[in-house]
Amino acid sequence: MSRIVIVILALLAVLPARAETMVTSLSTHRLQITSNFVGSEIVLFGSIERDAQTISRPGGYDLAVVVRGPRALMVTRQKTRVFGIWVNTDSRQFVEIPSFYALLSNKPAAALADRELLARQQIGVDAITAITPRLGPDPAATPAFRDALLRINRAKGLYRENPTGVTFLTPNLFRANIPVVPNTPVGSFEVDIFLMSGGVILARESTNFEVTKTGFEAFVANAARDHGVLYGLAAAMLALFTGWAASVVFRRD
Amino acid sequence: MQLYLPIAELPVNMLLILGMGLAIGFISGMFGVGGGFLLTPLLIFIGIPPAIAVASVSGQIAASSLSGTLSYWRKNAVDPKLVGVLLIGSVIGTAGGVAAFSLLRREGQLDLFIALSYVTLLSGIGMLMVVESLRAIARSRSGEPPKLLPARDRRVGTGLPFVMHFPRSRITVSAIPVIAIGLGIGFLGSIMGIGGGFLLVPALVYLLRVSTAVVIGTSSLQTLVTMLMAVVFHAATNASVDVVLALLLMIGGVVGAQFGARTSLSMKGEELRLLLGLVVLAVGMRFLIDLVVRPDDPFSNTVLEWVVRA
Repeated sequence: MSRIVIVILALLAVLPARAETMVTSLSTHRLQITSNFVGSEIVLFGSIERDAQTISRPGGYDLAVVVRGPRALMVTRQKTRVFGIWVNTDSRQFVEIPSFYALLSNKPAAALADRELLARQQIGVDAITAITPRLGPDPAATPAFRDALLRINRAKGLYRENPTGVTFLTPNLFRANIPVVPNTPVGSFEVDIFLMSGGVILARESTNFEVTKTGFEAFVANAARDHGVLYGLAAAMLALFTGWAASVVFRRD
Repeated sequence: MQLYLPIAELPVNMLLILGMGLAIGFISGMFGVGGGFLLTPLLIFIGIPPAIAVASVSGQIAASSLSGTLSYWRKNAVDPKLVGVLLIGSVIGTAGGVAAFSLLRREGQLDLFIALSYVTLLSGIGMLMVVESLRAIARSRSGEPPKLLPARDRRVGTGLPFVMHFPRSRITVSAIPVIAIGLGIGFLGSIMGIGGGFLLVPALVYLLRVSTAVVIGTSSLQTLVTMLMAVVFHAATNASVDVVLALLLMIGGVVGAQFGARTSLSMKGEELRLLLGLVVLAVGMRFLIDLVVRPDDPFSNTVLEWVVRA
C-alpha cells in the first residue's frame, strides 16, 4: 500500500518530465552460502527505456543502486574509564537498522542530488536513518553514537559506497556489481534502483534477493536454532567420539 | 583454505584454526591442562564472537579431556566417587554460569566480566605457580631432598555436616566444601570458556588434600563431564556452539596433545610448572593491558535481535 502511495506521489511530483522507465534484472535472486563461501557478487543489469516524445537529458542519466540487508535492533555502546579500567557505560539502541547497506552509483552521492532528496530517499551511508527510542541520560550525545554506528559498520565493510559501482555500457544500458561480503548477514536483501538526472528522480525500480545457507551449513544452523538441546547432545557426542578416537589411535600403553 | 562457519557466519582459514588447536593441544598435553584459557582468547582475537568462542571451546576441552581421562582410568588413577560429589555442585554452577553469560551478554558487560575474571584468576594462579616452582627448583639445586608427604588418609573440614570418606583419594571430608568447589569451577568454566583444570588441581591438592596419585585423573574426568554439560547448556540457551569450529579445534587439539605429552616426559616437573605459570601469568597480563589501555575505538556495535529473519 505505502509503495503505491510513493509511486503516485513520485508520479505527481515529476509528471511533466516523466517518460523514462527502467527494465532491470539480477543475475540471481538466491545466493547460496556453501562451505567455501568467501564473499560473492550479484550482477544487476538494466536498460533505460525512453518514449519518442521525451526530450533528451542535457546532463545525461545518473543511477543510484541502494542495497539493504535484513534489519535488526542494534546497540552501540561506549566505553569510558572507571577506576582505571575501560567499561561500557553508555549505550543507544537503534531500531530497524539495515545490517548491510551499499550504495552503488556512477558518481559520488553528494553529486547525485541535494542533501534533502538524498536524506528523504536514504541514498548514501550518511543518509541512513538511525532512530533511537531512548535517548539515555545525555540526549546531546546521541549523534556521536549514530556516527559511531555508521563508522564501525563502514570499517567492517557492512556499510559501503562505491561511486564507480554503476557502469554505463551504452548511454541507456547499465550494469552494477552488488558485493556480498564474506561476513554478510543472512536473509532478505532489498535493492532499490533510482534513475536520476540533474538532481531529480526520473524513475524507480525495486527488486530483492535472498542470501541463504545451503546444504550442510543450513542443516547445522537450523538444527542449532530449532533443536538446541538435540544439537548440544550431538555436539557432545562428537566431542566424545573425537576424544575416544584419539586415544585409540595414539594409545601407547 | 577458507571454510565457512555456519553458526559464527563468517569464513575462517581452516589451517589457521587447525594450527591453533595443534599449538594449544601441545601445551595442554605438555602441562596436563585443558588449554581453554589460551584457546578462547585466541579465537576472540581472530574475530570469532566471544559467545561462540566460549561455547565451541567447551567441546574441544571435552574431547581432549576424554583422551586424558581414558588413559588415567586405565591406570586406576581416577576417583569417580569424588567426581560424583563435585558434579552435584558443577551441574548447578554450569547452569548458573550459562544463564549469567546470557544476561551479561545482553547487558553488554560480558567482555568486561570475562576480562576481569581472566586477570584475577590467571594473575593469581600464575603468580602462585611461579613462586611455588621457583622454590622447588631452588630446593633441588641446593641438594636438599624434597619433602615427601606420607601417603595416608587425611581428614579435612570434618567439623561440617555430611562427612564422607573417599578411599581412592584417601580423604575424609565434608561434602559441603567439595560441592562448593564444583559449583565455583562449573560457574567460571562456562562463563570463561575454560575447563578449569588449572583451578581444580590446586583446589584438590591444597584444599581437599586429595592423594596426588589421583588428582590429575579426577580433575580430567570432572572437566570432561562439566564441559559436556556446558556444550549442551550453551547450545540450548544461546545456540552458540559452532560444531564446525569445534571439530577443527578438537582435531588439532587431540593431535597436538599427543606430542605435548611426549615432550613433557623429558622435562622436570617443577620446570614444567614454572613454564606453565609464566604462560598463565602472561595471558593474565595481556587481559590487564587491554582493560587499562585506552581502546582504539571506545564504541562498539552489537546486533541485539533481527527484525525479520528468513
